[in-house]
Amino acid sequence: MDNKLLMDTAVLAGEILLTSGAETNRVEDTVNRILMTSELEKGEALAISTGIFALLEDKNKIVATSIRRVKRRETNLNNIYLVNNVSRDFCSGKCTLSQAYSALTGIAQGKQYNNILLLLCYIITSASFTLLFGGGVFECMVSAINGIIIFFIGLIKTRKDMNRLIVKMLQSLAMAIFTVLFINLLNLNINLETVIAGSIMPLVPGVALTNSIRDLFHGDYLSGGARFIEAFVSVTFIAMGFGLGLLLGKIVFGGII
Amino acid sequence: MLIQIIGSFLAVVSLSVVFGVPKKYIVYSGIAGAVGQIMYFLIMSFNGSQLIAVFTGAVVVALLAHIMARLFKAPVTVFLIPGIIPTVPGLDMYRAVYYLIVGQNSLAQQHMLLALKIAGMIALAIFMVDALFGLKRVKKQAN
Repeated sequence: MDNKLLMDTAVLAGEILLTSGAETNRVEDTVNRILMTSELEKGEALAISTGIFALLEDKNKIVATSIRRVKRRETNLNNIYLVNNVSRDFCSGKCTLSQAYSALTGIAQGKQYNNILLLLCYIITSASFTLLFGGGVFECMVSAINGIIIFFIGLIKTRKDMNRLIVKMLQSLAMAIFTVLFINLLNLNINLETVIAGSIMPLVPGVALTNSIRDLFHGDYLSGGARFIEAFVSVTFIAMGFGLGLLLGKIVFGGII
Repeated sequence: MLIQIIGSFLAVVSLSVVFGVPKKYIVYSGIAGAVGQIMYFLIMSFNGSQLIAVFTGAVVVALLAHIMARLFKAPVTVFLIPGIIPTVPGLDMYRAVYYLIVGQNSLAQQHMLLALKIAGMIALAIFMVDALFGLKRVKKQAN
């Protein structure tokens, strides 16, 4: 068996999982399972939230090592699902090593949903969380416009490669300023609370929070702690964003915000 | 309440698209989220304690996510992450910041504390269900 290709396949699988937002435990498990299919004595992997180290070892001799530093971070649950399928097929012998490798490179390039559908979903998310928090029809309409704002500012991140935290703060700030302006200039009788609380829900770091809890449970305190801090910092930036927006509204329009 | 449950279903379904859940599982993650919210509202109307309601809702979502993951042979995360989002304390987060800006510090503290408590309850729920399904796996390996 080609050990170099095996190592490349295993690390590529781990890298896709880590960039797509999988738990560290799953990353280590997948890489280990793929490495174990070799007939060498030992294959071992270590993953933390920012990178992967992997090693293939025979008697008295190291066959292959690999280190990947993962910088990009997004949420794509479909990639996790697909990598999981490929690794399961490969480990049970349903597909060969080169087939598995080409399947994984295909996953790394693919994109599941187009931008129009994503825009629509941002609109529905904001509006329906407002509905969930007890908003009426007008509140939902304002939130829907907020969803559009959040989506288009989010596009800057993918084009210009800006810092994610700054983008989240900008999204939250723009949304709050728009809401305050819209309500005050048109003099509408709208409940600000449900609109803004509903609109920030697509920004809330649900992935980081859930993964940090699950990582901590598995005893990966390093990754779990890192993810927890990630969630906390990103909540702080979101709060700073709409807080600043509300503060500006208070200064411009006086006491009523 | 019916409108709110439909709202939570729509919210979870559209969040699933944002998070890139595979097409064939979108409806299931939406169902997990909506059932969690139904439990939340039921407990709220019986008991009135928000913390217990959040805990029960999160437990139901996590249980459903684990069961669906085993049924469809897909990672648990696919169903768990979108489903758990409606229980995240967005409203209390907003109120904490709002009262901080208006200058009512004690109310701001109260809501911040409540948001932290709710996040802790979600963590506890996920811990518990993971532990439950972890037990089963250990038993299988022993046999």
